[in-house]
Amino acid sequence: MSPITSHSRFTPSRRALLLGGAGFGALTLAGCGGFVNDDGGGSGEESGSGSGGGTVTAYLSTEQNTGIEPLVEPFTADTGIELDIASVAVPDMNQQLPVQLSSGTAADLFRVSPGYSSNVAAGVLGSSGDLLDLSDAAWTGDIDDGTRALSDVDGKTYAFPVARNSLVLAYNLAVFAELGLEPPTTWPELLEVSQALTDSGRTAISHGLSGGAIYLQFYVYIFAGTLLYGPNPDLDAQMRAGETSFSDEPGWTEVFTKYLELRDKGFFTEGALGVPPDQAMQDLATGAAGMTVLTNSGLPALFEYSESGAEAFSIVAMPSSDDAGATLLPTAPDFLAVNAAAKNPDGARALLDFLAGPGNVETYANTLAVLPGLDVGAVVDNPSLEPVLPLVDEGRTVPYANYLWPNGDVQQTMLQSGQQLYADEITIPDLLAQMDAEYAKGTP
Amino acid sequence: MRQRFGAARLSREVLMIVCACAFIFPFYVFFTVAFKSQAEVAASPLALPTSLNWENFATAWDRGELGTAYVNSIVVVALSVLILVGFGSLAAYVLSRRLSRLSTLTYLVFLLGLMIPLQLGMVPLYQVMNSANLLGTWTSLILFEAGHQLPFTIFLYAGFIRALPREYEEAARVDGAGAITMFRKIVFPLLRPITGTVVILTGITTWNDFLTPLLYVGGSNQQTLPVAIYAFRGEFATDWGVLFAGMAIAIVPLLIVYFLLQKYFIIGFASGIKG
Amino acid sequence: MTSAVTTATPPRPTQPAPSGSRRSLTPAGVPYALLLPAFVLYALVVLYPTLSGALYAFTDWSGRADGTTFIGLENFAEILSDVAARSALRNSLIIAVTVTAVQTLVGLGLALVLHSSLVTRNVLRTLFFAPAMLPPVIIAFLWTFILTPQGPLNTVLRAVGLDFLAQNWLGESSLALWTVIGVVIWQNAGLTMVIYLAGLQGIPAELNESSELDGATWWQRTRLITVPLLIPATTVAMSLTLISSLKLFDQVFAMTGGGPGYSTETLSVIMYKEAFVSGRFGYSAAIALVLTMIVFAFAMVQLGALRRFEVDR
Repeated sequence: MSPITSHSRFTPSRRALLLGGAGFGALTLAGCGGFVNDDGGGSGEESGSGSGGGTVTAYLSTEQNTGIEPLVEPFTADTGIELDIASVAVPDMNQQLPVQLSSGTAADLFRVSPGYSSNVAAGVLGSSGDLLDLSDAAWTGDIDDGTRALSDVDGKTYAFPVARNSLVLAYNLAVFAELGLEPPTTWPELLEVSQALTDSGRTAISHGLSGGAIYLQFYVYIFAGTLLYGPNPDLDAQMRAGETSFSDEPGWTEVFTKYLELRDKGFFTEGALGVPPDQAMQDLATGAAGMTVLTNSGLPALFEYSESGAEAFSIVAMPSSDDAGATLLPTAPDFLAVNAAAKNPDGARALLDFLAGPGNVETYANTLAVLPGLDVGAVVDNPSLEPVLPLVDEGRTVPYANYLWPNGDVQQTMLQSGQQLYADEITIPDLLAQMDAEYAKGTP
Repeated sequence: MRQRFGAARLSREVLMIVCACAFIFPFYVFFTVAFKSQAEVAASPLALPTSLNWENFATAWDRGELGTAYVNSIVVVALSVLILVGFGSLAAYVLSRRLSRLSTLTYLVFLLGLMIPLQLGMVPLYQVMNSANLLGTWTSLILFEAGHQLPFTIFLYAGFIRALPREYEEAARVDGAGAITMFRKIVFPLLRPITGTVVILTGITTWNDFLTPLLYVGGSNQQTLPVAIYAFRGEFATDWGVLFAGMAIAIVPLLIVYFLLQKYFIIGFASGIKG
Repeated sequence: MTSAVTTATPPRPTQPAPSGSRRSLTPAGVPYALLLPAFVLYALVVLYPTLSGALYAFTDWSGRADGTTFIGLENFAEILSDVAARSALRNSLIIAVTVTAVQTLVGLGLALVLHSSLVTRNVLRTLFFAPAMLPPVIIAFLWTFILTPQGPLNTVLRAVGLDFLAQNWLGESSLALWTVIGVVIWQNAGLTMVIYLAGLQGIPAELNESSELDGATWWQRTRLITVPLLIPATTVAMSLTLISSLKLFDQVFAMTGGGPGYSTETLSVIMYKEAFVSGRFGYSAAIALVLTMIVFAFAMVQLGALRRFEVDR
């Protein structure tokens, strides 16, 4: 026998066999455990059990899951319907949902984006017949007009606004106090405050554009809201009809000019294209920067970065023009929609009816520190949002500009080519022409 | 082996340790963030945490139900790797010992699997899993992971089996051993170093895989560690402290297993021949 | 290749096999049936889904249940005129060539040093391999943080007086691609090292020892004995690196999203965006097919070259 057959050489294979044996033993032991589906064809058999019981499956964003958590038990106690919730981050959800929809495995209830802003937006899925028509629900009367434009297709409502977000300018109170600054209410004031902050050796407006430049769009929506959509609410209709375009409408050039003005004056974080958004938030928290723009859903994360939490900051609607009274607050509904092929459509609708109750709208909004989704007189119990609440109450809100663009590519182009604009590799007319080209491709 | 403790040797040792420390600097950031509150991260990103703050770990463990996820990950990784080692080594053995045209063609078909982007078959495979009623089960993930990493496994094994002298097999053949016995008793033990590599590399890929597990078992009780941990990411803001703590919980066992396993595998071929 | 090993390695069995036995081993010795379990699994999980997915490349499928139309080669024609696709192709090629070359050298170097008798080698091997154990998304976040203009890396560079080296690593479109390449190599060099370490295990220790007795230096032994015997490991390591870097997605997507502008766009990234941002699954499948063909062509050329090198020896 050659030396390789000496018995020590057999240890690994014997061990591997033992391991294999153990593995298959475990397999047998586990029985049905996680290896087979024990619910026989999904929750199919529960369909048709109506609102009196059964299970509703829901596919929510991480944030929605947090907001709905305190309401799950009361809902089940109230209706006898169980909730089976899965939650993922928004970008992952936007990837998974089309696959699930085309394979018939999507949950009864899921998050959709507003308007036509993505591949899985209310308008896109509503037109393709993937969503259940919710027009006869009682709560549709409580949707405000701005939101309705994003949830409806041809007069039919396809999405339920579970909450609203807004774009705000957050500032560091200690820094403002130290320099004796007041929060800006007009564009010239914003420039003055920024200059004062810059002169003090700080970054005026911390801005992080690395990893996809999602924060670039917020400035566009803020400026476009006040400068374009405020004076001309019909702009989207006109652009759809081809009467005007990004290039032709002078307001769009002004929007991007204002954005670049902040860059040229040195108000943004140095090298913003290489700064991640989290870093921008941290800079505001440490006082290295005086202000930053973010969504109000990001405020809790900002507060976490400071030892004094929410006390360290305040917010204001970011001004874009010389007239403080003209400032509009860009808001964004966060939607839930019901699958047209839901296994338990009645249960899903019962959940939406439940969430539409004034007390529940309030609980959801306050859990997440966001604005209520429906106009049902919910009281926002959140001091940090107080500065912008008057605008909300007066209806001085405007949807994010991109929501009624016909496809998600217009936004994608704005973000990516926008980085080139920021780096001076292209000009504003170049960018607007590119956006027009994507716009012209229409809804897929 | 003779051990000489000269100055040259010592300096080489020190030099490598310094290199390694510079190399893994990002891990320092990783672990300190996991132990810090967000406020500490903002105030002094690089400083050591003021105290060993296990809060992030507790939050991650509870909120992500990482206990269950652990069991799921271990089951999926163990069985996928077992299948890969078993099926892959056998297939590679055939493919590198038979020199016919059919064998070469089959090998190429397997290699093609390395080159195809995953996305191409994503939707059809999902539909297969759905019609087989396997979504939400370990089985779907094990089949997916084992199937998709077979090309890689076979490629690794084939490369090394080709370099393996045939004399051992020939000697055994003279002794009248059958093909399977010969593989089990002669070839497979000689493959120990590369089996170690296969176990480690496919194990890590499976352990960290995210998108397909999310698609197959997301939201079910069978979800694996990355699926549970990535759910901490928000749309515009993420609590990296909790996310990193969760990730640390997930990878520390991996580092330990690797550290222990490599000693075992490294005894491997060279000493086997000496034996 | 077998001959390369057998001629360089003195056959070790104590009873040398009779010289005629090689013929008796093949082809009858190893039955094709042993291949079956692997092939069935592979066909079911990879071949069938991929082939049916590839059909979408000839349609305008939007990823949703509503109908699709057969549009022939239109998608492929569009790729030719698509500016983003062309720059993605260019970037993918740059990444593939650079990463493959550098990562192989770094991995080989690490393996050679850590195969030696260093006392700390087991710890060091774990440390150098550690980056490969973390998911790319986590790696990407760590590095975006380290590479910010005022971040740790630049702070260190300025502290040691290398101010001119401090850069906006990910924010400069002429630099971002190279930064991404650096991060990818940093993360995966450990993988190459592991493959080489397994290869080094296959080299009989006494081969080195006897030549050491003959007075050969470490460098001579490495160059004349070790490296030639590592050709099979090199084939494996280089091919895997080439293929994965041509398909690079995670690090780019998480670190730069393809930016600034389009400067780090890769084929896999635009493939992803077309499918899941734009809902153009058909076009995305066409890009995937083109990518597969490019990878195949590169891999075959590389395998062929390395195979010839093995034979030449």
